[in-house]
Amino acid sequence: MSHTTYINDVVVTDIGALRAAIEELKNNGVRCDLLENAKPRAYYQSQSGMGQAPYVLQLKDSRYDVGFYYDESKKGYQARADLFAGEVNKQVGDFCSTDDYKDHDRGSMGKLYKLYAVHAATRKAIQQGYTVRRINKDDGSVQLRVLAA
Amino acid sequence: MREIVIDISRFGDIKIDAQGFTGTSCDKATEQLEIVLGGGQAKKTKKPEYYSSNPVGIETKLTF
Repeated sequence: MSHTTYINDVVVTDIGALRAAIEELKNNGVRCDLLENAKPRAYYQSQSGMGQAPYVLQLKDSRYDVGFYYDESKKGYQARADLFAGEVNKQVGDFCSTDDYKDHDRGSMGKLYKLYAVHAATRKAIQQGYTVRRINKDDGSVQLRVLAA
Repeated sequence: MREIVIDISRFGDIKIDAQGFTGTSCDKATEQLEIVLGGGQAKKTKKPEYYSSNPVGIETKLTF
């Protein structure tokens, strides 16, 4: 082995992968759509930080949506949502058994982050000529094994 | 065998492990993955092989 890289803050840089992740969410029963140039719903109509967004994941079984806002410093889109009452968590999150507040917060959109990462990494690896094997694990995590073709 | 193993937790935390690479070739192999996933904000830990210019398992003999 020569190096290990850790990424704890997923940044959306591939909209095609985001669309693929949303398709997988739909296939798993989440009623949602990706809108362009829309305003995500939040508790307050004019909620701070939740204005017009280039991309919005409209969650049909939630009162709130997920907005994707471009962050120049991170060179990509960051997901933002009103996490009040666990509405968003129920749709695109991953419930946590831990009492760690940080994990609760991260878990609120965990399924969305995970599926974006799976599709973004797969698309990029294939584009680079690699073959990818996806392994869905019992604990909810996913392993991708990327091999040179 | 050169392989990149990507583990994605249920929270979306990502670990990318480049295996069987030597020297800086692993950087090139994972660079685009790191950008697409973390926007280039990844935290990298280099392993001893990273600093080796020879393939793993090949010794360099020095003569004086």
